[in-house]
Amino acid sequence: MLIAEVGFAEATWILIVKALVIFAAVFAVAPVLTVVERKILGRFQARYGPNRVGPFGLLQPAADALKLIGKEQFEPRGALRLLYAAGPALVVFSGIATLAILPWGDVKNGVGFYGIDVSIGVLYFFAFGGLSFYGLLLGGWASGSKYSFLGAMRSAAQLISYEISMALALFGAILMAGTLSLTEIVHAQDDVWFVVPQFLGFLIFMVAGFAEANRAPFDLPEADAELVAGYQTEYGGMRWGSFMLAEYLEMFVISGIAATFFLGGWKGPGPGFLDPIWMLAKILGLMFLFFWVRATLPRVRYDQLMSFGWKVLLPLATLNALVTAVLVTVL
Amino acid sequence: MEALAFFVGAIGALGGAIAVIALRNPFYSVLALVVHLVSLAALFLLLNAEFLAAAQIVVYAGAVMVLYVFVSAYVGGSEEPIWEPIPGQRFLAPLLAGALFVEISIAVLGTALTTLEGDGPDVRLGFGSPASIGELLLERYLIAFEAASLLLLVAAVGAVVLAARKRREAPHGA
Amino acid sequence: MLRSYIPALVFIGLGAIVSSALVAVNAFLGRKRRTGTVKGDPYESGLPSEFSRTFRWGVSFYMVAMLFILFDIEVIFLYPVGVILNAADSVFVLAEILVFVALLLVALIYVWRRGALDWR
Repeated sequence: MLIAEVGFAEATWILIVKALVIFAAVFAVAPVLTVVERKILGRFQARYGPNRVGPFGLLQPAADALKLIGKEQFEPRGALRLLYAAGPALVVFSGIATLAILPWGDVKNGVGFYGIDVSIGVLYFFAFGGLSFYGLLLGGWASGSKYSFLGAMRSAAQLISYEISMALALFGAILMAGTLSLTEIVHAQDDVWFVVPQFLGFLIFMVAGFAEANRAPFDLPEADAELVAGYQTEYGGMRWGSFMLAEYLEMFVISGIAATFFLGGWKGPGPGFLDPIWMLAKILGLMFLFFWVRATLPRVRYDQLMSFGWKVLLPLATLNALVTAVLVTVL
Repeated sequence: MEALAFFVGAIGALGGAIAVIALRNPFYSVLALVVHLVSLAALFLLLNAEFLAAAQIVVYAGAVMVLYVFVSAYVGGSEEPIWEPIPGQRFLAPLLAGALFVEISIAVLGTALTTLEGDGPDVRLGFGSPASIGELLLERYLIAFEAASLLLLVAAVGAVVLAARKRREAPHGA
Repeated sequence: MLRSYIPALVFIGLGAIVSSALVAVNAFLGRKRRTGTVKGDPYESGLPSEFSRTFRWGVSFYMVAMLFILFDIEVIFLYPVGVILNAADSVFVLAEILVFVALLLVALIYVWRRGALDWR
């Protein structure tokens, strides 16, 4: 069995610098993703997508950000000021905090190419990911609008319904690797990527991931015919932008976890310095899946969403865990 | 560094706990409780109990408080008190709190202060990691581990029974 | 050992800074706030707004939250035991896991059969 140095840590300044580098890299990629998504959606619908601002519309995110910043700070009359601001802040906070867990490569020259590599591993993701629940619930509750409140309750119930399937879907891969640490899970895939033996787990994780990130076909806040804009109804300007940013961060992290657990993480042909590139390529590939699904599948109804999570995904994930447990011991 | 982290965690835990009982609105109280629980998790982490810290956040802040939030979204903001005060509560409460304080003081003064001079226990590598917790669950605490699943089963049955009764009272929900 | 958490602290700090900056930026850089009579009204369909934070929710929400606690605890128990299964390679560990999960599967089936998973 592979025993990586659990508890290995570099000098303090390296730890701080590498966290800043990862953060900067992700925030350089995230705005591009927004325009890429709209381009891709446009192509799916036989149109161009944004192509006016800058070459190929690449400056569109900057224009969007400027527009959002230029809005006035708005609060509805019945809002609770502090909590109304805390809602989007918490969601973004949880998105950024979970970025720390993604592994971008092995330990090279005494520097680990990851934010943190700790024994609790993926539990860190669930611990901080759970905080976004409070963000959207607070936002909807404090807005002082019934659409926001109803949307927040629904989105919150949706979040918790799919979180368990997500955790159980990973359990199969954890059984095979015998660790929670994300770098060790990548090492455990030396022979074969876990997407092959754990294909069901991969599927369940991605489907639950769509629901966790509030993406199509589970993007109920976008279902304007039902709840206007869900918990985001009363938000505008950069506070609304925070919810959008958090959505992209969440998609990014979920794709990263899926790439780590099922697609061999940073593994790929070529020299070692390509590792982060491979990881990024896999994440972007999985994010393309998010966009593709959004362009393809119709939105589900809320009761369908809830029963699908509890009656299909959860039993499937449990069975997957049971069968994997037996196979791991017998084989 | 560790001292700083300890005081941040301790202040968060104490402040959160005080806010839980000081705030009038149950919704705010629940939020204060979340702050308290997350701070406790930070303190666990400082004691090298990594898995316990994660479990604390995932289970308490992430799941139990979710139920509290849902319940207080229902009662929150209502002006009238939602429970009947127990007769003599104002007199009994400080008395019991005082008794508890004395008891804890005896316990603390009797034992814990002796280790103030020492360097603390030797923490071996892997202490508090999921694997070591797993071994403990399968050796020393096997019965507790299996009893936990029975307990969860009973809880599920209880929840369904209670909900069914509620449903008969109010057949049409939101 | 705890030093390996320092990057997490950096991310947490960055998260706090970025999120509060995003939430506050419009107050500083945005347009001046203009208040009108109906501007602060929450979104409604033309009727006077009626909003209360005490709202009677369907029991399904509490049911979902309750079940979430149960299965969340299941996961948190399973993870540490599952980690040692492959290395231990013993039928005993496997049996413990199977019993544990099977009991919760029974709970799920019971809840399902009683109709508590139907959203209403």
